[in-house]
Amino acid sequence: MAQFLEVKNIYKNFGKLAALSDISFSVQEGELVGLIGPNGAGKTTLFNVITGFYRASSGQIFFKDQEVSQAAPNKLAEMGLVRTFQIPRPFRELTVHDNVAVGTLFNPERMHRTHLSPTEFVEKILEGVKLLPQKGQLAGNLGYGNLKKLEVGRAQGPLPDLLLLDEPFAGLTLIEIESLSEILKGLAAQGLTLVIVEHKLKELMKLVKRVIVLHYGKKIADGNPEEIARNEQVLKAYLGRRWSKPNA
Amino acid sequence: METVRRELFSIMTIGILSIGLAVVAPVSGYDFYLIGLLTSACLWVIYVVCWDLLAGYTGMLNFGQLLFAGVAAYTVALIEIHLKIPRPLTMLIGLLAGILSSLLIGLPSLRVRSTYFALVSFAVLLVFFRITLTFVETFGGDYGLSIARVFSREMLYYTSIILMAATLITLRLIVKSRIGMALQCIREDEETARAVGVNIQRYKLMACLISAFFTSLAGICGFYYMGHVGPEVFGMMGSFNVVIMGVVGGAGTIFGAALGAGALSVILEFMRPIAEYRNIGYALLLVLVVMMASRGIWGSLASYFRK
Repeated sequence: MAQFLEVKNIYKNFGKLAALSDISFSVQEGELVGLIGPNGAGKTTLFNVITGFYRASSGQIFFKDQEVSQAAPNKLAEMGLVRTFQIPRPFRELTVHDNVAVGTLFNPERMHRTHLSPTEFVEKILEGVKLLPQKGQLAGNLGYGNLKKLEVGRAQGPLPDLLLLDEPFAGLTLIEIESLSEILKGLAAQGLTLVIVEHKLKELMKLVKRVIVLHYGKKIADGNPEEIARNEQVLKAYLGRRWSKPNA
Repeated sequence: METVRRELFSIMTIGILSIGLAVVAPVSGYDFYLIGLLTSACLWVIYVVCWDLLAGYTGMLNFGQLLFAGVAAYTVALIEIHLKIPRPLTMLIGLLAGILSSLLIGLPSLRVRSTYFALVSFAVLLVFFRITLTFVETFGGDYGLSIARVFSREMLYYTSIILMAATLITLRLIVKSRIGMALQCIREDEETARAVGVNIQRYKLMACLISAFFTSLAGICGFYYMGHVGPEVFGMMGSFNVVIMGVVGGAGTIFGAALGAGALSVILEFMRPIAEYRNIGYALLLVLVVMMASRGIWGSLASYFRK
């Protein structure tokens, strides 16, 4: 296949506000990509466009060589593209187990790939995100840290090939971030392609191999973490012109 | 099917209760009053349980549940009066009409949040109320449409019991299946449900059609029992009653809704002597339940025992 995920000349306008301008990039299968940028840069908007929650004003999205610019989120989930939400949105009245099980129920074709029974599969996921002990609890009763883990766990229900994570570390303590990082690394090792939006740059740079930077809706940089950390435009975007000259 | 196996206990319970109900008739000597009361109770159970599928499970708060029943009943009435076609066909057409009427509120709701459904359902109900009163020639205005009794009371009594049992069993199986899971996810968080693969439109429509199916059948049964259908079927009180029974009994649980319907329709009957105060008492009951046991009687009991 040409590209795993290809984003081509995406524009998104809200009235006169250009939230995204001419965004183009591709992601190969198996990559671990970070998407960063100051607040308001358009990262979540880009996620929403890719995952079908917003329709782009113009441009195209291709996933596994199929055009998915108009596809609905559930169609994308069927194809293997799933996202998480920055503020956890659990199914509060369902148990932790059922929250993950939902994804398995509505993607039966993908479920045939695993040779496990649905329950075994769900428990394996829960074990992976360290939520197995809570499997019978109502999701609405979980603490914040566990809800973030549940977001990641639930997203694996449909057996995605590409996982878009929206600020998975937001609101977590350093220890929790490390724990979640390990979980994400494990997922990547299993072959899952990850694109992660994050503000916690230090932790993100330790995790990903490639970073794309957005600023005011435009892509201003795309490279490995070391390059990005020294990139003058990136520094200017985050710190202002005065601090943008990298230390000699 | 696996779900059937798991739900064997519920199915048997429903079956036993239904048989129990059926036996009441001959045992009591076919008392007209009692049979009428129980038939009515059975039909209310069907209405409320169907309402619960939409409101309790899918989050589509329906203030016009009796719309489907009314459309089906009026259709059957019109055919009975004006056409000479075999009765099974008449009932089939009535059923189809009832199901189609659900699309009137179902289709618009696909594009908007479930909260708007409440307004749309109420509005459509009122429109039909107006229609029956406006076209007096066709719909009989205030008097509605009447026909001579074509089925015996006993037969309709047994039919309503069977229908109720069928509805309870079917809906129980549905809510415990994958479909039920989808509906609950839609209730909880539509966007997230889509993100993990649930086709919102498909399941919302499915819920509307299933709900309308059994409600329409009950409406037809009710019509043949009374031999009459009038504009009050499209009135607010009827459909609000459904909501009250559902909330008091326990929205989001099939048995709770059934309990609410059964209990309240009987209580309602016993409150007849205090005529004017009946509605006040009813409303007070609703307020009390919402304040003290917001999950309804069944729901609160269930939470209590879960702890």
